[in-house]
Amino acid sequence: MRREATQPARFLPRAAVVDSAIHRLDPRVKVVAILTLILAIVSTPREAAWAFVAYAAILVLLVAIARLPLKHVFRRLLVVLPVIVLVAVVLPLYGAMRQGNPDPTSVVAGADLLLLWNVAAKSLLATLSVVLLASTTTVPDILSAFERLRVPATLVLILSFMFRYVFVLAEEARRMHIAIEARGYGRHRLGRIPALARLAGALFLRSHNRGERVYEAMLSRGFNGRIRVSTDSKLHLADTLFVGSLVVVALAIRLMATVAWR
Amino acid sequence: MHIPDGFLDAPTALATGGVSAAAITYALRRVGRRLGDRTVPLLGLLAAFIFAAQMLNFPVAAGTSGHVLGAALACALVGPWAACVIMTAVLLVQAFGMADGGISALGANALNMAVIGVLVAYASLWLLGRVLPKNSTSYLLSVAVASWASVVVASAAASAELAASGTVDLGIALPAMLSVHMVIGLGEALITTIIVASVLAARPDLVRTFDWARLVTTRGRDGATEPVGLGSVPKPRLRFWSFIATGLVIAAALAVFLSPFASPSPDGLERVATDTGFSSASTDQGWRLSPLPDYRLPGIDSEGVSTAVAGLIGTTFMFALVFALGRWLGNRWGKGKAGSRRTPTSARQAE
Repeated sequence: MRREATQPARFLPRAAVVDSAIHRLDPRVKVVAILTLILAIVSTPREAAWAFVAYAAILVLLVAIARLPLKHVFRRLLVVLPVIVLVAVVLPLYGAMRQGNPDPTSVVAGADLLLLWNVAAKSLLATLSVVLLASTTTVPDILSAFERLRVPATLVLILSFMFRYVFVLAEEARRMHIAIEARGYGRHRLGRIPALARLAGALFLRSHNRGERVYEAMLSRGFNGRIRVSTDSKLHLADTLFVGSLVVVALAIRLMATVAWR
Repeated sequence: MHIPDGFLDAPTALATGGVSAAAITYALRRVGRRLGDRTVPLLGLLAAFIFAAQMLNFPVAAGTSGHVLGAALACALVGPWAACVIMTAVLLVQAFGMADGGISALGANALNMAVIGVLVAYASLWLLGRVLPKNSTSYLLSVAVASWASVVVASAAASAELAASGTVDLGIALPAMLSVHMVIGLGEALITTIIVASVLAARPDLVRTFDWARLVTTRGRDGATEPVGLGSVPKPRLRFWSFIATGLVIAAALAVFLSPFASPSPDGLERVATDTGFSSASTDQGWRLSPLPDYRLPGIDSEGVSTAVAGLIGTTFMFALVFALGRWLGNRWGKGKAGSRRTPTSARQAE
């Protein structure tokens, strides 16, 4: 068979592969801590280079504790690379236009390099934080954390249904794609586009039918419009310590970056 | 078009986050009122569908592939408010599960793709639905226009947010993003239109923005109403040509209306040339030889009109060039493959 058109592997809960102290933390704690860290990173003034080094050190430490495979982390980090490269390409043009400076090299060396550094450091560190969260927490856990952190319940339930069925639909799409290939569609490269698009149309019909069936199945099991989720878990000492220390350290770095040590 | 973390400053992130949170809360309420108990299972499945549809890689050219954004697709199939919720769910999963699009930029990304992208698509569908004749061909045409417009406007919104944050100057970000996404939008329009057409052929009642009653027309001498139904779903050939024509009309309209507003200051390279002094080396003589010197037509006095006409000519020329190239390459590939083509049936017959 030729190259796969669908890649369900791009979206997988890899969390359960390894176990570590970070993996075992309460998901609420991880979501809050990582969100705080990201907000601190993003809002830090660009001149405080040491602060970014400190953030990076914290993140590397956490990745080491979580024993994440480095290859996996780096592959996930590549997501932001195109955007950074785009900015790097656009910068010389930007500098020349804004300042009207006769010498392009001096323009690039000036404030624009700081801008590139700002964008690159922040996006890489923030993405690393998200990768850390996503690789140490299963999606259902993240969703339960969302729910208890007061994200609208309907949205969380939609997300959980989406997560439950996305693999089913991806598998269905893969089977239909094999059927298309087996019947010899798409010898011509562009000829595959209509066939794939009709596949997506068929997938919509099947998703819709499945949605109706799931709803009827829920009704027959006594669904009355509300879904109750057990909310009995308590925070352990380790959870409190983790979220407390990470939030305090992140905010301390953020504060010092503004007040002193520019 | 996913903005990562670090590209937006705090005011922009907060403002976009506030607007999208409000819009999504409203959308959830509207959807809940319409679907009731069904909301969760149905929208969950449809969000999974959009996510799976984004996983389908469509071959573009030279080994690259692209996928649909899906805002207009969701809007056409399930209506604007449900599409808003679905796209938000997809963006949340992308941001938290795949690190695609920043957490602090989530508000901006949701605003661009889940709110603006969807609402622009809906506005186009609504507007064209009023103007165009009521049949499925013109509905599919409006789907094509809507998906193109949603991609382009969403990219314009993204560049406006980046410019507001001081990351990139609007004068650079807007033309760059627009020109790239005008091309990407054509692919989005093509794929979205075929998907919607295939759903329309099988279950026209499920296409939310398509008025099923349109197909019920008076036919026959006794004036009895009967559904015309599947017979009026257009032939692919016709769709292809109308798609090309629409694209040309839109591109031409943009060229005419937007080019006079393009930056009157010299572009980056010209500016550098003027400043470093090597532009004096190139005398005016060289420019005059070009058929459209400085994107203007000789002999037309008004600068705006002249630029617009030049833009129109340039667009038409580019369109013809790309089209001719596409046909030529298509024929060449078709011929090259035809000799060696062995479909399963012909192979079996040969044995």
